[in-house]
Amino acid sequence: MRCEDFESRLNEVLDNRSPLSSAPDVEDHVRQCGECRELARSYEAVLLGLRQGTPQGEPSWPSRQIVRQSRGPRVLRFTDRRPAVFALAIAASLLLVLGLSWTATHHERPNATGGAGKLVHNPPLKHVTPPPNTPAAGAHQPTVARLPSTDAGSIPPPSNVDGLMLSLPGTDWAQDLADGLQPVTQPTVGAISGFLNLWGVGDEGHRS
Amino acid sequence: LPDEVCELVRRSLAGEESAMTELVDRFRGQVFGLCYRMLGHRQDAEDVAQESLARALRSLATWDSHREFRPWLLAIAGNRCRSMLEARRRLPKPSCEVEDLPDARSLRAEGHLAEEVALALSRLRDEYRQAFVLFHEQELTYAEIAEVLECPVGTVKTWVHRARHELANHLRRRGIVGESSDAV
Repeated sequence: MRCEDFESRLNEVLDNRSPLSSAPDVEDHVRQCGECRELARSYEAVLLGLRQGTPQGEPSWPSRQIVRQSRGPRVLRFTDRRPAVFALAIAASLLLVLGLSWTATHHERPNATGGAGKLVHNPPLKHVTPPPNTPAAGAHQPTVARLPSTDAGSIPPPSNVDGLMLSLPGTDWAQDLADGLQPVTQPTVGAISGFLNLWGVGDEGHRS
Repeated sequence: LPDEVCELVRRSLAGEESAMTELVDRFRGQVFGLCYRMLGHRQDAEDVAQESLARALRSLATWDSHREFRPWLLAIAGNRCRSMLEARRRLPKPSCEVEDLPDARSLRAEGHLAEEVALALSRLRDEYRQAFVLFHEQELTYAEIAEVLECPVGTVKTWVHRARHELANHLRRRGIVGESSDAV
């Protein structure tokens, strides 16, 4: 045997889990070559040291502890949660669509013709004429609302509530008109808050 | 033996606690041995062995009963050990490296060949160490180790041969061989 082949021959013998002494060709070569003898001895020393250092004694924990541990709550990874996330997203989208459609069908805003929807209309404003004997300046003057008219010199009809409020601050009829919009917005707010309550948002105070 | 393990696994899957305990009893020493060799630290090895066994019990349903149970279990333990080693590497290294080892002659005199081999093992690459320990200590076949490490048998052989070579070189560099070989 050549020295170059000696190490691979050592590995062959050890791969078969045989002692080096069981291979006659290895034994012969070891007797003739000091360097290969040292190599063979170092290989044997490794295995001897491994056997001597095999951890002694059992682990300190009881097996029952492992069984209990394996039954404990498992931390879910994202991949485990994914189906649940999808289901939750779909349910949320569905509820959102239902909520919006319910809001749209039950509480429509007044349109231009003013005839559609279940609007809560304020009673028509009355025409109020000032009393015939207008008191002098500085005397008490009752606040009355004046309806806009097309007469020259009267206040032009406001195009929106804000414009109205700006043009006629403090007039009761403008305030009434503004108040008249509230019933339209309240159900919308109610629907949204009801929808949020479905998801438990904002009801923390009721939980124990 | 494989039939007994299959039966234990079947009973464990049915939720029988005594079967689970018996399964753990049967393999805990081997799992701990591998972890100890891989990590070189008893407390860490106990923790990782515990975690590996618990994980294995939770994943029993994924075990293919046509295959050997032990390589499957040791693969879980090996992976946990490698994760722990990776985590250790991310930690900042201590300021004083333990390079000034005691003189080899004193170790020899006290018969500390095992410590020298353990030290040399700790300096091997993870895959060399795992393959070497699985072959020589756990006595798995090359095919089983290939299954554990998920690589070809030829690669496993190469790793074991390189591990032997490096371990032997370490002992020679440290002057251990002369004395220890007398005992061999």
